[in-house]
Amino acid sequence: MENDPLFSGERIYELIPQRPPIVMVDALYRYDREGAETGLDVLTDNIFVEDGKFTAPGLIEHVAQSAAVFAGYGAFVRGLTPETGYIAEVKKFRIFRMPEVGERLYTVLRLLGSAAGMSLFSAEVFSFKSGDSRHDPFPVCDGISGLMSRNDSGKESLPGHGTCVPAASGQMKIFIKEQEDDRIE
Amino acid sequence: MQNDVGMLNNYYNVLSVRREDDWAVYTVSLNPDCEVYMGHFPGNPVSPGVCSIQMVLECAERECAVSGFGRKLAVGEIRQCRFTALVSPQTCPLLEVRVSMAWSDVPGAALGTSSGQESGFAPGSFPEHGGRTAWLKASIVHDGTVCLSIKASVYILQNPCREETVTVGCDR
Repeated sequence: MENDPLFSGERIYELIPQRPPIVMVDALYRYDREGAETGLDVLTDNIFVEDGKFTAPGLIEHVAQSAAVFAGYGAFVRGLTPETGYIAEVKKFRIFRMPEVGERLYTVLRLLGSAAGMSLFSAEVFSFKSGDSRHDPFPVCDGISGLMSRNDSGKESLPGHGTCVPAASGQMKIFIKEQEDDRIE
Repeated sequence: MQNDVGMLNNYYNVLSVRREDDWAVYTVSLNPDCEVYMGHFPGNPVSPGVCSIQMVLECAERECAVSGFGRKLAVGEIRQCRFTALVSPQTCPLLEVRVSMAWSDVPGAALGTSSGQESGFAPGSFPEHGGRTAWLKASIVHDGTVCLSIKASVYILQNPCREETVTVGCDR
């Protein structure tokens, strides 16, 4: 099925150094050299959930680990071990709503540029409830990739999952040590 | 001085606070036993940057409670947050969290520009929003080195504050 993730669940541990209780991404759906699409179920025991809502630090960490998964997958396909990355900067990170426990996040990450180990990403985080259409009709979500399709009412939807709404968007600079590919060609 | 438990269980303790002009300066200690270090990272404890942000928000919440504006803050936008030095309980046993808030006069008003677009959120787009908004400026300093500096727009989630939630005294 085209919606199946490339990596999910515990296989994510092959791509990132983080471990419980601070794993903030649970699926990698798409990857190319310019970006990736990731997901996360908002669970009640998530350390960044408070009063049933996924808070700002959680949203930021989810985006940071989406970037880690992006870098980790790039290392994985080259047979290298994923490096540890560090957030250098968060910029213009707007939070439109705090997702609630039971919702699923879907994030579109784009690599805007990188040099000397510092990479700049943009991210748009959407949230949705399975089969739920109670969300207000938000304006069109920019930059949604092919996994999302417009349904008849004009709302963005993930096939088989109900309506998604924007949760957050912003930019982030991540520092990850560059790896030389030391395989002998 | 009573020790607070914030959203993150056992992450830090507040040791003292002093107020200078518009700034509140909290002295805090990081707990090396916090469970977050089991996963960040195994064998290499590094304080997550977002946990530093959470400490900043909680110190700002303490200032809100002292001012009587409310008890809980939510973030509308992180305009900019720079992480300029790594933090860990081993290298930074004591930190200063310095916070300053500039409140808007109009409840629910977007901050920063007249159009409202630049500031990061539109009034009315948050169902729970109705409280006051503020620009929060803060930094975390260890031994003279700035580890984090942040500018964010925040808004009150709950009103009014309750007496029993004010747990940190102040030296004026």
